[in-house]
Amino acid sequence: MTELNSLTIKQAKEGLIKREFSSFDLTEACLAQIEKVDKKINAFIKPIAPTYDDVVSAARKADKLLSSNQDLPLLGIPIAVKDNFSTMGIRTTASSKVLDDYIPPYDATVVKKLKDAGAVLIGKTNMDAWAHGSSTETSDYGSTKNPWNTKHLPGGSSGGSAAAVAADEAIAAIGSETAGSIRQPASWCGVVGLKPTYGRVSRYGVIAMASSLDSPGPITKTVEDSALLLRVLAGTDEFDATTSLPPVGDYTLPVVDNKIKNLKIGISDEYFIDGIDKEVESAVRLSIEKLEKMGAKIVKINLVKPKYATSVYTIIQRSEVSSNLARYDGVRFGKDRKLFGEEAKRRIVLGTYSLSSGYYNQYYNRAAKARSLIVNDFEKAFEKVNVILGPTSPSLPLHAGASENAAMFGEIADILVEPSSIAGLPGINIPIGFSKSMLPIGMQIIGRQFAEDLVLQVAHQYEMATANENWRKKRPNL
Amino acid sequence: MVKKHEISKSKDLIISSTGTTARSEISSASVTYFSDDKTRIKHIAELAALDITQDEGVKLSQQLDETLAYINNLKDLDNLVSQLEPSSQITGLENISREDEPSPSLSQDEALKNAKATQNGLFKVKGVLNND
Amino acid sequence: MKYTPVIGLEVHVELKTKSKMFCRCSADYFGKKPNTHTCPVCLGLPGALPVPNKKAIEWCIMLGYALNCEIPPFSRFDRKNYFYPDLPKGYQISQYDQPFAVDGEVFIKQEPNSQNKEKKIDVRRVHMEEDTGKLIHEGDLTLIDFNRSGVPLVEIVTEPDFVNPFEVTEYLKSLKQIVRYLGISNADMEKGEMRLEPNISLRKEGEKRPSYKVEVKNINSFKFVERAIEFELARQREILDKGETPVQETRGFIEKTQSTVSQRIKEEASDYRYFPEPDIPPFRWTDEQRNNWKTEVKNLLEEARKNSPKEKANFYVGLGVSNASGASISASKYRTQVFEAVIKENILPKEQLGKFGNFLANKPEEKIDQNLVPNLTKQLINQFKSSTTTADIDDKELDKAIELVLRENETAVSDYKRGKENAIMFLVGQVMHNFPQKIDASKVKASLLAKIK
Repeated sequence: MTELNSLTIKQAKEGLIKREFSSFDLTEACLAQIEKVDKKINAFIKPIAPTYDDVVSAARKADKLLSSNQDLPLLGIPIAVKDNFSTMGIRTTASSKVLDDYIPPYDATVVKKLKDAGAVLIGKTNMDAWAHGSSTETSDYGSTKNPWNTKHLPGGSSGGSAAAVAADEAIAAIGSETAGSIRQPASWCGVVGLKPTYGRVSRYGVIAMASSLDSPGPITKTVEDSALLLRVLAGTDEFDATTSLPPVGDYTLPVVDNKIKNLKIGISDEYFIDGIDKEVESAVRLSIEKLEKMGAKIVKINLVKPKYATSVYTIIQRSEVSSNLARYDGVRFGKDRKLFGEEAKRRIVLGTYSLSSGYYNQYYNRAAKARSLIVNDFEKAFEKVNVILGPTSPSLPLHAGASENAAMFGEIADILVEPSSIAGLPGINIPIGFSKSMLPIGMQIIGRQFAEDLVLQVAHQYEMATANENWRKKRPNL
Repeated sequence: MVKKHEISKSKDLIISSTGTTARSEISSASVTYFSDDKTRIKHIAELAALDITQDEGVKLSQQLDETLAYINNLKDLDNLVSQLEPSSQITGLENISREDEPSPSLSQDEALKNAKATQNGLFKVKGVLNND
Repeated sequence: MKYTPVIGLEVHVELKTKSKMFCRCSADYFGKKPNTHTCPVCLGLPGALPVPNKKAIEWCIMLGYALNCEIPPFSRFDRKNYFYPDLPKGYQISQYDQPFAVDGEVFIKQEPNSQNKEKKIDVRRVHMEEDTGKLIHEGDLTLIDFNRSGVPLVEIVTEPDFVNPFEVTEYLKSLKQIVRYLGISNADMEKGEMRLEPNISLRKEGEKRPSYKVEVKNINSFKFVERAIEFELARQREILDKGETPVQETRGFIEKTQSTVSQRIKEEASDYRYFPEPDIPPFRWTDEQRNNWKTEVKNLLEEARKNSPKEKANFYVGLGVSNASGASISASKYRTQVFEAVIKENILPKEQLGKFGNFLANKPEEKIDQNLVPNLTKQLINQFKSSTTTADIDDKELDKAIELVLRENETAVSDYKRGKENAIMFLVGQVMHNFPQKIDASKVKASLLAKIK
């Protein structure tokens, strides 16, 4: 019998409806996997919450509903949630000791939607503390290891969620991206990660990192699963004034007609930056060729050099971080601020500096203007192309320890995803293969604002076209 | 509908969004300049209520310089951005508000639950100088 | 050395919206059990987000129009970053360089002996912000109640146009009246619904501007405003006379000693690192929206002025009510309601309104429910009618009664003849006693006088 925990949401749903197995079976399989492998990869915050009893109880409730033919989009599906999403009554730490004993009295909107859709919350996943990073090494609860090679990093900040999905500890997971925090760990862990248009999914209840950038999103095994989850999560929220007004798209897959034929895919040379890993580059260029063979038109576009986006992102993000972290004074909740880790302090320092009255114009304001430039730049590009494609990460998953003591590790690692994050555009990472050293390689597809449906279609088409490639049969050896 | 960013100065803004003078005109406060590397981390730490040891301060100062060296590359774009409005919002949304209708609040217990110290339904904190 | 006071005012007005500025907690926090009106947003919990109160914003703009401000088409919220235990997020959502209203003016009454009757005070800006929690100091402990955190505040900043405490109190009175007329706040200083922070300096002769300014906080009652300012001016005068310059600082007013004391100078406090609030999209008003608000304000103020006690009293006097009665009726919400209802619904003929008004004026003040007014009005009308309906009497009968009374009360008659006016009323009363039904007193009086003469 296939291990139930290795199923996709789609497959699990089919099995549940056909009564081939129960949510309890499915959940137990995931819990067993967690028991078996999490000591090696540390994808979950410990002690795992909800408790075993509570998780089983939720699975049994789902089974009851399933037996009465209730039709909810995620009924009975075990999902892991990044530990920066407030879960009522369940400890939420953002992987920082400052929140070591914090128990939110409310659910994030995303969590509420998951519950309303019948999902079974299976655990909170490890992350870079405060989402500051691209390695998950800055977690105060130990770093997460890449399931494909535990000597390597899973990426971050949603490293725990990505690893949990790659290691089949959960059927799917929720992450959040400020600039790269979904796409990059998805790339390094060989799974699908979607950063929706900024505002498409509510931030209410997500521990804020950079308010004008944070975007919750799904991390899944397939593109179809991603679309399904997005459908559940997206929508206007009365508790978040920055959520989008346009109605949620259909995002249904599989595809009806071939969206790739005559699709104009923009490729920017600037994204194959100096120093990019050769294997990453050749894998992505190969994928581009495949898309061309499928009928796509490759259009060369010029985009503002990503290094400027890195500067814009570093300044704006760290400025917003310095303000968002001010509420942690230990009075109403949490512990003293002196428990902030090095990375948090680094970012608060730069952020405070660039907002100070003598430096505001030189840094924050200048970055905000450059942000407008980047937004316009993409708008111009999308007049010529339908989607933009490129590598997600300039490197293969780095070795553990790579992020320590670096002044700007996170922001530099995310150089290729920052431009689209700054402009609030949707972007998806899909796995395209492995390096010789068996480390995952991913590529990203970016669309204009609210073009999730097109981005998902293209990603799905590519996934279908490459479904039989051998590398897809591999599983992490844990 | 995403609002298009206009590459022209909006006449709507009361003050020019360019130049240091604009900001210091309105601010009745003194302008902060971190002229001294040694004390700037100390000042930043005070502004940000951060606990920073001497050693940490040295390291942070170094790293701040490294970061500034990188992000100063934005100077290259000055010609291109001089006519642009700063974006603090990329949703294009405007006029978002809600009706003035109250909803139930948290109970006193829920509100106080995560606090380390409370007294008679109030949050307790070590004496603050009576500056009210 | 002559010094000229230079005073600018920052006034905060608490809006009486139903919910708070950025969350749906009830804004009616006064006197409630601590920390019972909070939620993740106003408590500053991780992940909470602000959503602005539409009514609060509209009221702020309307106040702007009432103060003859310009309402710029584009405005937004900003974060003001600083640390203090009553500030849960570690920043206050306020407005920095693009407030809702700018460049207004108010006209206030001048001191009685001044050259001009009125003085113009320039209003620099009117903006919105959220209130902080409340701190209670107990020994070396500080206790915090966040019920007030997030309540909408409007801040009105004037140019330093005031030169004496009288002008300041006149301004406060005008402001209070305006916000009451608009129905947006009760502006009761004692309840913290209107808060004053004057910036006080003295300008030396020949100086263009003072070289310092002192902010005074904690003036919690209207009755202390003049005293606080006077004290501060005197204190500064003394320092300047010595040839020194007063320290630029924030001082607190102490009720017990009726003086101001220096508060600890917050060194870094001035760098608030303002930046646009990323959680709240900006605002852009159309000409139509702004014209609608402007008209609404104009109508509200006109309506309110028409309905001001003074105006009402004049109107009533015009209907035949005495001056005293006019004042008495207009000063009482209850009496006003009754009288206006009687007028509106034509319950009594026009000629009787004056009499009814005088009758009503002497009725005790009733603190009653809106719904009871129609019933009470009915009762009062009945009472009035029975007290004023006079029966017709036969003139011969009246003459007989008068003759009788005059004969039996010779002392009173001679008293009257000697100038004692009250005696006539006594005699009238005596005559009326002879009749079981109510008769017209003035008729009796006239006949008596005729007979006496």
